Amino acid sequence: MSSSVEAITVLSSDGDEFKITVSAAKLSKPLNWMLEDVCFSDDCDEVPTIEVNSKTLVKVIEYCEKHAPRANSGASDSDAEELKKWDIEFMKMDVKDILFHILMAANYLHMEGLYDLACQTAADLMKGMTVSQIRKIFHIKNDFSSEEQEQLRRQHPGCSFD
Amino acid sequence: MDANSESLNPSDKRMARGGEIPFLHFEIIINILERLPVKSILRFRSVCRDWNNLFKTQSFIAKHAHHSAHESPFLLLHAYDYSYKRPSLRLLNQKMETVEVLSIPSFEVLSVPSKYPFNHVGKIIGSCNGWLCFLLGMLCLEGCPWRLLRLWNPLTREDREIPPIRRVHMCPPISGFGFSSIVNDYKIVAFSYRQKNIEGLNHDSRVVHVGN
Repeated sequence: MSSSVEAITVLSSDGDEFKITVSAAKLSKPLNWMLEDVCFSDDCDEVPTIEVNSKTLVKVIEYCEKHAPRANSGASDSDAEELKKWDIEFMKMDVKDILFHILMAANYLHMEGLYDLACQTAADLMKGMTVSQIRKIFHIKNDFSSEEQEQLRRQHPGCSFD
Repeated sequence: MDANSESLNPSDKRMARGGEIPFLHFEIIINILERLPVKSILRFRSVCRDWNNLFKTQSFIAKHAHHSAHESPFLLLHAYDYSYKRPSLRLLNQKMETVEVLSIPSFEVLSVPSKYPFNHVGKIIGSCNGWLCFLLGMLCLEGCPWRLLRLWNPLTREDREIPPIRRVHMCPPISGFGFSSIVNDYKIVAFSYRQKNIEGLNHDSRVVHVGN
């Protein structure tokens, strides 16, 4: 492991190069292992590929860079509060389109904080959706038989399948 | 952070075109669903069979309870409500503000002679995973040999009848309610005792499995 390197270069699944600081990369367990295993120096030819598309990777790296100082040194309550506000804004942006990609990336990169945040954002978005809208975004088919639908309606009046 | 590519890459184009939503692993979907409020979960049981079955599993219920306890702790208050002149159940938030007044259900009890009017909540024995365990009312009635417990879920409005417990001693028994992961079922433990003399207690205890 080379401790002198401050930033590493990674490739997205689209083949684009991105730089991420070492302290930010440590937020991800697999990236951290990579840091320990691979020699990241300027003359090193090997550029690891992260199986995340460029648009998503930009967001993931942005999150890591923001959270790295606190994760590495611990922070005061006011910093934690500030970070919480930042998280809310971060998830408010155009993230909606790539939320599921961010979820998959956070899962793949073992990033607990981002994963929790993305799960909660997805849950908050779902609250206002109809059953049909939910089926659409999760690619689900209504597989209840008409008898089962009838039974559910009987057990739970007001139960909607649309 | 450097993004070397300024132009739209293939995945961006795909997004921009039709907003293609990727398929999520079921594990990830479960992690999202655990964070939904109960009302949404009840609404989404009609999405598909997998979801409907998932919401009934003990592991999901436990994980969901874990999340909601962290997100929004509530206090359930059972008191006599003078404005309604009846006992009430109120859900209070962290600031002790009333979020919801729950109407207390009246229960039909078929297994006990009708001269004992057990039909309302007498006392809350305990709560677990959204279920409340009640001792039904009028149990202070002299000579009444029955103790009736009932499970009720205030959010789903489901209720479950528990076999009546015949009491041996006149002292009010001590009861507890909880979930046992060993038998994968809810358990009620009732213990009634009478102090015979200073040397010992005369006691009677029993365990009721609620059953799914």
